[in-house]
Amino acid sequence: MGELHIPDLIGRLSKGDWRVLGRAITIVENNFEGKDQILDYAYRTAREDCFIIGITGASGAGKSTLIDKVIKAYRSMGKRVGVIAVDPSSPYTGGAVLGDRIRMGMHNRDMGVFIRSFGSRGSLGGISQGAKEVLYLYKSFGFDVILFESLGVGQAETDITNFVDVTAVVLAPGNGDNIQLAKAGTQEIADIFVINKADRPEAETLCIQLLSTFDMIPEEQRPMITKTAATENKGIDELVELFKKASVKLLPFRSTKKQARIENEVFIGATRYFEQKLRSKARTLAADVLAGKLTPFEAAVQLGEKIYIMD
Amino acid sequence: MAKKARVLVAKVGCDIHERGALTLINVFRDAGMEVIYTGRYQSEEGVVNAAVTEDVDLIAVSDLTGSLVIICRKILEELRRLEMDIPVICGGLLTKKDVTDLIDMGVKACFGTGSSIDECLCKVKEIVGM
Amino acid sequence: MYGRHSAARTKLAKRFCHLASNFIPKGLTRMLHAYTSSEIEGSDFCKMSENIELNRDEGGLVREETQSNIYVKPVYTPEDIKDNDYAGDIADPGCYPFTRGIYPKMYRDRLWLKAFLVSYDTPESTNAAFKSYIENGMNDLRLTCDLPTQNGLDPDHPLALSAMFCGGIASYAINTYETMLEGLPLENTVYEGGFMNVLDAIYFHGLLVAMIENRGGDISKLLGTDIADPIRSKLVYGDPSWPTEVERRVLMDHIEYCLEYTPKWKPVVPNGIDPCQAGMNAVHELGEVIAVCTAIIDDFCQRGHTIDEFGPMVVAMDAESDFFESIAKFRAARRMWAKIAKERFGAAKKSTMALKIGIRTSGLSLQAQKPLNNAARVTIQTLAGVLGGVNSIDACSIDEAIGLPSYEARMFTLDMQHIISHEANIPLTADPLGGSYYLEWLTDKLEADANEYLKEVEKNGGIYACLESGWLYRVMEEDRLRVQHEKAEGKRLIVGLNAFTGEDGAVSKAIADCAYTVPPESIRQERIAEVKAYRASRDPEAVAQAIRRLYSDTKNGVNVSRAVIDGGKVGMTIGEVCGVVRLGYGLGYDSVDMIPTPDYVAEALKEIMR
Repeated sequence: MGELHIPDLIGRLSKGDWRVLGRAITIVENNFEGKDQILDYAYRTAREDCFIIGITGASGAGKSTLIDKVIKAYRSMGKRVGVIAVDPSSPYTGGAVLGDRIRMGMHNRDMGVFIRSFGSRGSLGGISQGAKEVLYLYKSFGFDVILFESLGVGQAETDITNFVDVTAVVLAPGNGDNIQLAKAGTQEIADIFVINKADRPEAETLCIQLLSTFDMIPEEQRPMITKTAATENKGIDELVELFKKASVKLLPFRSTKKQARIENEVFIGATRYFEQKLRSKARTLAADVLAGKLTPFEAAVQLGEKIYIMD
Repeated sequence: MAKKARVLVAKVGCDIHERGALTLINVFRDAGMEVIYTGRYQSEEGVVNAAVTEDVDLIAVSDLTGSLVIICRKILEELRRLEMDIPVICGGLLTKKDVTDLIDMGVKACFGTGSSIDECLCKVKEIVGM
Repeated sequence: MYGRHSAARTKLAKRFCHLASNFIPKGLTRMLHAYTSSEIEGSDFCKMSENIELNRDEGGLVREETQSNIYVKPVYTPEDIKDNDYAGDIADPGCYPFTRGIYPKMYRDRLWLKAFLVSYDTPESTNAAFKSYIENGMNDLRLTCDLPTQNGLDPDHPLALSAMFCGGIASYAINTYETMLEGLPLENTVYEGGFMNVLDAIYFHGLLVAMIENRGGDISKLLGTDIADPIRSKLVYGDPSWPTEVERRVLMDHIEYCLEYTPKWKPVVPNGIDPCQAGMNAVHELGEVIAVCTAIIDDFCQRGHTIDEFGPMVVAMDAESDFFESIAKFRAARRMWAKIAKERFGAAKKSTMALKIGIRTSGLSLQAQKPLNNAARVTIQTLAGVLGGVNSIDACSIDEAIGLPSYEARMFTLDMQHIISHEANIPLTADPLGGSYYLEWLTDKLEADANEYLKEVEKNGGIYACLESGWLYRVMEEDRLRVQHEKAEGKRLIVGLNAFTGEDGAVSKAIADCAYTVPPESIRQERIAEVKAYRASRDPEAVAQAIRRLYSDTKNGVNVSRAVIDGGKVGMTIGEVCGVVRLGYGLGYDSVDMIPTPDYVAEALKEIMR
């Protein structure tokens, strides 16, 4: 394919050429030249009727196997599926093993499924900024269902909820999840709890423990629970039904979510813009500090006041 | 900012031996690359599709059944059909004739079972531009 | 040696280069090599070589531990085994707990079985090979099939082409077996199948039964084993598309059928070879094998039987590079199983408590560099098996690190065993190393460590639970990584790999060239055409009926063995047998989800599946 002219790339994207979608994602993820044009196009052509499901949970819970079966279920309904799979990047080497695809290997030949793997690339929430922006590309490309798989469960994960229509948290018995449950973040983000490996005897105990944590939550706001045994292909149809139910239930909140999401994007975009400007100025001032002309704190205030022009 | 190198490690067919591929995956990761592994039981079309969607800089095929010529030929054909130009390297059970055939076909490098990991990493870094 | 003669100088210089190559970067060594091969008479290099000092520590030991990281003292004395009770812990060969062997006179009465896997590209050539090896002393026929068949895929499956003929023949139905075994006796001859999947094993056994019945013979005389161990295939090959539940049930069906109809056939052989080759050390391999044996007998007893009904247990273990550790491992295995059989399961018959061990020498230890050295490795490992009192030995051939074994390499493995038996006189007495202070201590140590490991397994819920949770896999990975680090850091020397390296000479090159290469694509295409033609040549109604029978038996929990045998008789292929059983369990027909249920199968099952 070689080096593609950006307008050509966008042209091919608009014709549904999946081969350039991979390249477009690379450009967006890495902030390469052409990103703004591509994102601009994607935002303008993004379909609002695609269904975005966020799936998160600790490793070992069987997320990828579950997603593999969910893809199959949606494919049998004739839906086109896009998958964003995120794995942790090493903070030291920057490298990553992106292994979620292994469990979804049976879909590699299916033209109705598009899977892309991302490293977290130092992002605290486990999802890089790039991966979130790629969602626009997916929405513009025309997938009916988008599955967004992310890592672990923690405080910073709460921002995934603004990007998806339904959030499912996958737990598995014997996974140390009881501790996870106690953390505030999980309950707030989960619309659905999926207890995977439900063929194990401890699954029932986990279910009961989970239900007991709902006592504090008013009935209408309680998350839904379902059980699956992904490797045995059990419980998948019920889960897909639940996704549908949840999306209906959460429809009223969609606009609030969108508001929050857009606000976040504007904020992050602006921050990035300023970061670049700040960097070089900070470098110059640092030299002054080292020369003894002023303290670092004075330098920071000086710089801050210089660039602050908002009312 | 330079693009992070992305490599696809693939196993085609029924070859169950994974250890070589798994070692390489760790080595590439430690060198700072993003490594995507297709898992076993893949078809050649599946491997190429994955490589294109993941927009990788290199496809590394591992096979210990002695079928690398058959597999790489199909992969290169599929890449041509899709008009995608992704470099391919291979490693595993190779005879001298296999290596000649593979290089003639357009495979960039071949690593037999006795090859050193460092050699392989060097070559990969060269191809992906690290 | 320091003489003026140029030939002596050249020899010395060459030796210097060889020693130096361990310490000097490769480039410099090459330069030195080049230097020695050219004219050096009267050069500065000659003068240099006269002042060489030989380093006495050169080539000294770098390890103080066995291969499984057990610390070994420089000397062992009677003190180290003073608590041993001969009658209770060691005993004579043929007496509980069988530490010294399961027969009173061991090899004096009967030598161990010599075997290796035989499979070439066509059934005809396999048949010829069998006949020729038997003439040369092989007395146990081991069949295997290629990777696609081991995965339950017929040759015309899309994934089969690249791996076809890797590891064996594409033996998809009874026709191939009939050709492969033409002219060979089916009764009272030891047959062994090396398969990955329990369903493959039951199919293989089923075909042998079918063939005997077709010939009008007596199936109760079918003798042999198949390596149908559901744990090891999951652990080592990690096939998520075959749920353990299916394999466990099929295994039990197989065991029950064999006990009733083919009592001389051992339907399950817990396998420690593959986990060991994938990285497990001796202690963990020992523990894992014993744990699998225990799990199988547990399942068996839960169906209402007793361990004495099951009879003797046969296991497959690995003869690794560490000589004494391997010998101790085999002795410890027999002692551990005897105790478990008696104390946990209440075995009453002596034969039930006597563990039969079949070994394979370590393929992992073979090196592609300087393959001639593999002859030494294989011999030492085989010797460990003999001194460990095992019952059958499958020795690797020296070229296995390069390709499939050549005929001559195979002959060597048999001849080597004949040399051990008849020239070196090793099997004259049973357990000749019994009583050695080191060996008895090491046997005790391995047993103690393995028991610790077994306690861990029990704590984590039994071997199946350990497998499901990935704990077992982690243990194996840790062992493997430790070995890798030791090799990289020079704490584990492998000749030719990280120590004492050198160029392959003419002999090594010849060995490499003669290694059997896989058949070209044209032969593979022939097989694909052949299987399609075979399917078309069968009686479609008989096949449909067999499919229906297998499906309903699977679904209704009836022992599937008979349905598999009858299916095999009418020509059901391995792909069809696996596929129909999967359908019976509500899974997809194809284990890799690439092809849909074939039309004729769907047609046959249309009524029942409604």
